[in-house]
Amino acid sequence: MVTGKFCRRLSLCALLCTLVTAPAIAQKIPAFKNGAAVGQFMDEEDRLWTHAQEFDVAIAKAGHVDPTNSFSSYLQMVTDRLFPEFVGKIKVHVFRSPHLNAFALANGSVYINQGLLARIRNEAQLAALLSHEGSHFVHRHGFANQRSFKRASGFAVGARLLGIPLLGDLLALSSIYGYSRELENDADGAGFQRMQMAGYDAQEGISLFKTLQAEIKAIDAKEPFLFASHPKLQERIENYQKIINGNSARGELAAERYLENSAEIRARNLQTDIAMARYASVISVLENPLERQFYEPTADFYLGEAYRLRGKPGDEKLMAEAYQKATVAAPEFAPTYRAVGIAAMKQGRNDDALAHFQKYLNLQPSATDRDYIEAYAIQLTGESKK
Amino acid sequence: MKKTLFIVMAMMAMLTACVPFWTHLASPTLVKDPTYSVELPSDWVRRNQTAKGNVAITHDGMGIQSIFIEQNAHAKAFPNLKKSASPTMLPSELAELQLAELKTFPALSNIEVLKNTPQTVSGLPGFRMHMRFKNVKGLTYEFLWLGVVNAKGYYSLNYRAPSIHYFPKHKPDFEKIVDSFRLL
Repeated sequence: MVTGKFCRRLSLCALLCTLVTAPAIAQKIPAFKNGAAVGQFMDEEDRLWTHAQEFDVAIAKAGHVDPTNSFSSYLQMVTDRLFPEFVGKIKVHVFRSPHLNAFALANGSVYINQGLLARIRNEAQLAALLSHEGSHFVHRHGFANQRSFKRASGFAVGARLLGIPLLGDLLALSSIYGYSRELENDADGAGFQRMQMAGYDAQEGISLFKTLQAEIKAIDAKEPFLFASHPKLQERIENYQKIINGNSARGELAAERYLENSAEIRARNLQTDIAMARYASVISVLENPLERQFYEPTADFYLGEAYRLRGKPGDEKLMAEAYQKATVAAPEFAPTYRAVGIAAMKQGRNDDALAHFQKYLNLQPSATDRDYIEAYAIQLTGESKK
Repeated sequence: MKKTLFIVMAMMAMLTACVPFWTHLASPTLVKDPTYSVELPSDWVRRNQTAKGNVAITHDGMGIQSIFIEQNAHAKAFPNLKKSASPTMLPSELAELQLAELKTFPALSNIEVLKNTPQTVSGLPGFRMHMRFKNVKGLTYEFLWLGVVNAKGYYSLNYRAPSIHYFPKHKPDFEKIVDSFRLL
């Protein structure tokens, strides 16, 4: 009789074999030489392409793609500078998510999350990201990955027929559904070359990874799902460092150009973070003076909101300080007065609350939460009369 | 011992399988839970397998329209956010956390609030949110979500249906359910 222990070992061996053979398969697939070569498919690559296009359509229909046209045009301009022979073949989109992530599809669609764009500090860092993701497409990593995944799936089905318990194995297999470590390292190398050819400062790739690493550590977050397919960030940093060793030439940073183009994305991402109660992320960014400088004065309001949502001992004082800063730095920004009013109401300072509610509604007569504020004001007025 | 346990579990699984998954409500049905009561309209279908104390009904299929009545302990009010509800929370604060909780689901990350107003639920101050989202086929759904908290827990009533045809058609039934909802 086959024991459970033996089955687990068998599963693990097969899984390891799959992982080891995947890069070997990948090496046999040539990269696209230029845009004209795109579309000359191998085997079942056309099916993968169709799936990618269906994915594009589905996420656009569901409203996950940000239609900020001017910023999208800017992203596309940087991409075309990095991949001049693939103009029109690699299309960049802003994905409406605050998570720190980016991904490329087999058909050349590259998605960068709004949250990641908000953390980037210059065009060279953006170029590092785009050159990496674009290289996945040019080197046909999606196709290579599909092949290795199919082998793994075949094993999974076979093992299931043998009655081998597979839950753990399936979880392990799902982590290779993204790109393997070797393919990620390959994209780092190819991306570095693209950055150099385009005249960007390739050192900035490391700066970006370090920023992400610091934030992930600060908010104690598990790496986002799609990052799970990437080597751990520390390994990415080390790998990238190896690639650029001996290449001390610095290139263009274009910090001002990036910050100017991305100001709206940063502001919007703060709103998204608060709307999704991702207060740890907001605190991590805005408590850091090096990061805070890239945000508008209204950012203090969002910092106050983050302290309120966190609600740890001492946060009430920090919240009040942040709101106070916001009222001074951005006196016409209505939401701060609502927040101060609610805080005052909860502390029993009814007159103070009423004054702030009034100011809020004066500044923003069409506020979506007007009914609440009016109800609170009526309640407070009643209490004051008693 | 292990063998006995296995047999008992297998029998329980088989017995569970015998229970019908759905019950057709031929007439208005009063549901009495230890902490609330509510009247369900006739001609809807109730799902039998739900978490204890919760109600799930549909008229034409869960993908077409659904009404859920859920109760949670304060500490489990917003599980994905890992945030609690409390009876001292303002209705707008409850609504804010409920919206954030919904946004943790990738399919609802772009849910849009059309209207967010205070509403009395069973005599207590609560909230009412009217929301909209699109699925991956581009079909627009609308959500009505009411929430209220008392000393016993957090209660929510929600109705979801495609904007086209179904949402307005079955909204009156949902409103009747809300009117009949009583915290005990």
